[in-house]
Amino acid sequence: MRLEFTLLQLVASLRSADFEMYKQSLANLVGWFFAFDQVNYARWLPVHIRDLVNLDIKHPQLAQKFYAGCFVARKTHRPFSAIGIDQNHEQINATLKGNGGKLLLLLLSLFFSGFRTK
Amino acid sequence: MIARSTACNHALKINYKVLHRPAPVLKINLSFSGYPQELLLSEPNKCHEIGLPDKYALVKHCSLNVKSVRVSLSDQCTVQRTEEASSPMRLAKQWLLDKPESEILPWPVYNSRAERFRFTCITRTAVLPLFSEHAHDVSMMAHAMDCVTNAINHINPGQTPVITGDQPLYALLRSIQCLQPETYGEDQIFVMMGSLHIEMASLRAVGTLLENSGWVEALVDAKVTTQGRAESMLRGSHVTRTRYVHEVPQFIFIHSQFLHPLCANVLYVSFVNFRSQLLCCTLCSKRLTRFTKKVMTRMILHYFHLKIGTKRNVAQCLNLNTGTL
Repeated sequence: MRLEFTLLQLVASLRSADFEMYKQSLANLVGWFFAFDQVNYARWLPVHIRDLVNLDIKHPQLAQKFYAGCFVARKTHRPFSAIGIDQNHEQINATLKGNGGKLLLLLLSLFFSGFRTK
Repeated sequence: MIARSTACNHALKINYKVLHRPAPVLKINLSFSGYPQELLLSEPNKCHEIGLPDKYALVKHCSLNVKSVRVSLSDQCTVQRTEEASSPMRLAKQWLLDKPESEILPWPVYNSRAERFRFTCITRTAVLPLFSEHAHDVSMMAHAMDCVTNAINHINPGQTPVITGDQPLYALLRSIQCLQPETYGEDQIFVMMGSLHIEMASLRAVGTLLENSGWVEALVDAKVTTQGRAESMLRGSHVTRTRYVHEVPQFIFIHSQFLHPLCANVLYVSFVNFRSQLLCCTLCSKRLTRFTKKVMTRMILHYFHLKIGTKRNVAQCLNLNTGTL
């Protein structure tokens, strides 16, 4: 139950772009990776948390922007709908691979560019 | 500017967010063989054909022993403990007790209404020309850091570049940072681990806990989903679907714990048996029909041989006649 709610806290911090809650949810979550023997995440997530905690000192301007919600990506104006940057990239991947893929996008852009110039 | 290299082959993508001032229009050419030679992302009618510079297109060889990396300790390494006001359980309780029972909103709706920050800007996203090298190559990752730094210096001078990668790429990037602090040090580039992949790893951890617990059977019997999809949820392969199916029973359980002590008693009676707890959680879902609740209740009583008092409690919680059980 506690793991589930920690997970939902992580999701809520991303959706609402709350950087402080994001750090706390990661700190709550890291112990579970040790418990479930997920070695790589157990090794590298503490490093990531350390970097996030030290961000105020090492990169104050960046930390200021992160606290303002710039550590996530937003695709719409709707509240509680921000997504992680890597999730945004996965969605771009899906766009490039699906419905004809990047070649179709390329041809469409060429078609419209040629159409407009004529 | 925030950038990330994807784990898939032949891909290097950059996602930029303007932090200080608006970004200029990106004009990018593609140069793979057999394809037309120009692509403009934002303004097709003003496309100018420019060749890719060598410092972008040529990947320099880089040989580093990334397996022998030890991340140095830091003096400022203090993680603040979770405050009581923002603990996960407290937030869930706040959600449930904030409104009367008849007006309980779904979790995303409640959070969207209660969101403190209101953002108006949308993240700008662009795709840079793709590389044929593998993303998990050390040379490619070092070159990606160079490309990102150059792009940031062009778009928004003075900003610290931020690169996001999934766990293997994060480990690689962080190892390169530790081995070459002069070129790619922590003071020059900030590397983040992808939050989506952290969430997926957490869902896999929950799936490990739920495996062989009867959770899949409960979902299938309750007609929430099919067998194959329920098993894929244990691995967290479909994130959104898995999160939905975790939200419903868990919040119903906490709802029953706070607002229906009788139902909570039923759940705590069989708390030791995780399988029956999950069945009860699914059973109390408002999404289930009355017929499904009856079938599920019979299944619980049959499987776990619950006592008569518990049987009455279950019936009262579900507004069923005890005789029908």
